[in-house]
Amino acid sequence: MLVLPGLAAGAVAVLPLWYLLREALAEGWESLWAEVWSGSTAALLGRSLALVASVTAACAVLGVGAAVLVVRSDLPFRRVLSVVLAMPLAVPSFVAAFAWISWRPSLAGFWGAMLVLTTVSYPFVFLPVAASLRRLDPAQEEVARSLGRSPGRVLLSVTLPQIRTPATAGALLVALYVLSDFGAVGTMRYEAFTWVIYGAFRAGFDPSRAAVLACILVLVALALVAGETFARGRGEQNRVGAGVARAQQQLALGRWKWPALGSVALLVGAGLAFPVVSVLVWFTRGVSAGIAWDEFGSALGSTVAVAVLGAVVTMALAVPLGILSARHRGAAVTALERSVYVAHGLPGIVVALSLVFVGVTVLRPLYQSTPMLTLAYAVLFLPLAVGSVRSSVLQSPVQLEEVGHSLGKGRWGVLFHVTLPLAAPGIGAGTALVMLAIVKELPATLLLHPTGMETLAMNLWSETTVGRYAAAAPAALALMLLSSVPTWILTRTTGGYR
Amino acid sequence: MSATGAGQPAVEVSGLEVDYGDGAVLAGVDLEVHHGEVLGLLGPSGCGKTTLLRSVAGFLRPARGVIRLGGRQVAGGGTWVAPEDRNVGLVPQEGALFPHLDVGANVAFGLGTRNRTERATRVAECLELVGLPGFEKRRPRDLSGGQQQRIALARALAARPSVVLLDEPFSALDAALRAQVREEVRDVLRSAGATAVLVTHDQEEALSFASRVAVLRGGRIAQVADPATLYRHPVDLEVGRFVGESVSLPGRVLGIGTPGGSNGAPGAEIDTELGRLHTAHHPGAAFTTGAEVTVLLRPEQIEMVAVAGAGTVAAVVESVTYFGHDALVRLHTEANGTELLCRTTREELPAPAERVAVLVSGAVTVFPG
Repeated sequence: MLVLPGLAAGAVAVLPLWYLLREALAEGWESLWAEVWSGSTAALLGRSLALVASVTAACAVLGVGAAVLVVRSDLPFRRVLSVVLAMPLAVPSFVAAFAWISWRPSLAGFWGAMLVLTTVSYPFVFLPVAASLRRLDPAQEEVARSLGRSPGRVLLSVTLPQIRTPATAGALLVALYVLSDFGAVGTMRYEAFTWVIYGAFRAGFDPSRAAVLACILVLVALALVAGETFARGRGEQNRVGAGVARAQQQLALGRWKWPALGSVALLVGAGLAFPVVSVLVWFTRGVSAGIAWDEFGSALGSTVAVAVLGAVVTMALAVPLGILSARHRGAAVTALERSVYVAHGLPGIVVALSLVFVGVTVLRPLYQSTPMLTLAYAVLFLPLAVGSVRSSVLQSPVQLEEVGHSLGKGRWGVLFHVTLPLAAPGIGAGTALVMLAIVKELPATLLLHPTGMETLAMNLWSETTVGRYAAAAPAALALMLLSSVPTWILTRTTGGYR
Repeated sequence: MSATGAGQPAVEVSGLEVDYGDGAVLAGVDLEVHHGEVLGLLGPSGCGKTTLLRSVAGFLRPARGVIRLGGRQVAGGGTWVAPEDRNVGLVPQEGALFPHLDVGANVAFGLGTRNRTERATRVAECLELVGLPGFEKRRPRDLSGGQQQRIALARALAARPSVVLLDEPFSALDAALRAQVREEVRDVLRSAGATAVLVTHDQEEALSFASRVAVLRGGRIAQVADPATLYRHPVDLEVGRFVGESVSLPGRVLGIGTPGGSNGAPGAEIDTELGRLHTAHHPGAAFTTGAEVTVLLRPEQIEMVAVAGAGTVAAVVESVTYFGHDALVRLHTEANGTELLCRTTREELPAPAERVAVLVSGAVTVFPG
């Protein structure tokens, strides 16, 4: 009974890609081939991969280092730091980019993009590694000590090998994030895939080149998604059996204590404190210079409107699929689930471009209309929504549904009286998450917005690209405040000590 | 097993005090573990037995007191030897096998930098010892709980430790498996000639596993004895009740020095509701003829007899708990309603409310008051 709505959701996720492929082939295979193998495409791929590789490597080192220091050493203030270190995740990449480039316009280019993306995405490594370090059975390390290994060697031979899986998975998430990022590379004017695709379509009026580049980007992204899935699947079971974890022994830092604290503080400073301070400084400058409050008000209004509409539509599509994937197994369900998760790996610019082609070929009347933009949000954030529905359904035991059946309720009765009410808090939280994701979304909004409408993200983008930083500050501040909400919840539930 | 310090106890703890800042956990523990013995460290949860074990292993720094391993001082008086330099083997609650290493690498973990063949030989030897030969290439997650425990034991034994410390190693196993694994582990320790300390809160486990049992209570050692002595002659009522099912009765001393025990050793005669009972162990100076005492006896000392006669007392059955190999019958005396427990192997069991005659056999233990 849930299969039909589920199919609809799957179709929404995958169909746009078909139109992207059609557009890429519009001028025939030969032209496609020539485009793929052209020197400029190779150079572009090189630039993108260089950025991906350097940010990923930096995040792996910083994330693992910070996690080990915060969880397993006697670093001062480590409890507070373990929460604060996760917070840069709340800073949208284009807000961070705004903060840096408005301070030093010379940062534009590779180093600026690398700086911004590293400081906002290292928590993708830090969070899972810290969580898995906390879960490790301290008895393992005690056994290793009693077998003659010093604390340092225990760290290298027992502890670190066991966090390889979360560290790899986190690093691949960083890679995917960097590859898909549009806001930071755009603001830093670094010619990576996403920004070039946007440029080719918007400024160059070359839709088929944009489509070809988007297809290449999809392939790279899918490789990263596959790598991430593989890395997770290979994960070792860290605890054998169940039991109460004891407090872990802390590594004594000795004279390295203050240098270590200094480096962690620098990381937090670059990822969180600097963007906040910079945005506030520009905001006060903007206030004294006079802010166009009515413009800001209308941007805020449109942002809230599209966010609510998009979140509700996305969730409506996600609920049947989430319940299906939590409660039913089978080839069809798995295929549907996969189809949605394909979109999870797709950069926003790709989804946006695909929907542009859907718009101009089959849904002409909807092109650059609110329904079209809503559809784009649904494709982009369906994975997020399905994930939260699925996990909230899984939280209540299936036995409750069986009891419902045994008490005489049919499938629909159980669905509406047992499953959905139990999952309601999770569905609500998921809706809020999708809303905030929409608020931060930039490339799809830029390509598909109805004429005359401007959201906060668009406002920040357009003012930053022309260097009007003070005018951009209210939108930057609002975006920063809004996006701190889910991270606040996340760190409260997973980041802190028990 | 260690050659050094022969003649010295394998583990010697004296005056050990540990506190976590919120009151003392260990308040002056004195304990010796002899070479080749398996010592059970028994106590209710929270009594400090794991703290004692972790102090010996070197994961806790005692506030006061001295710990010696094979005569070498490892803690106390300004001395501190790190866990990695103590040569103790550790078998924690759930085995704690390293999940990223296969079984062979787990067992070889403590073997240091010997050459490959030597390592492989020792690993094979230890796997053979624990009855899992050829398991080198298996992954820990593919093993059952009992197998994991045995590998953990092999890993601890491989480095030939001076003492193996087992921290409730069977508590995570389900009941059916527990008894079997326990027996296997005990046999392995015996055939390896290893010195071991087993921490447990399960009195049955301590009595059946260890060659000597130390009862830890309130941060101090209450008694150290072989299992039979501990069971028959606990130092006080509390230890007596803790180490097994018991019945206690008020009584009065009739005479001291009368031939009581079967070996004719001096004992005492006690007058109780269940008749004249005798005690074989030497009564303390605390009581004299006519003194009020408490008598402790075990359920298997109370017998239900078919016919009432000399020395029997009438009792009424309250409930019967059947275990298969025996049954525990809860009764009360007809005269005073005193609670009794009787362990019986009889095939025909009485029904609740049935009247029976009971008789006490064997020597009892007496405590003042």
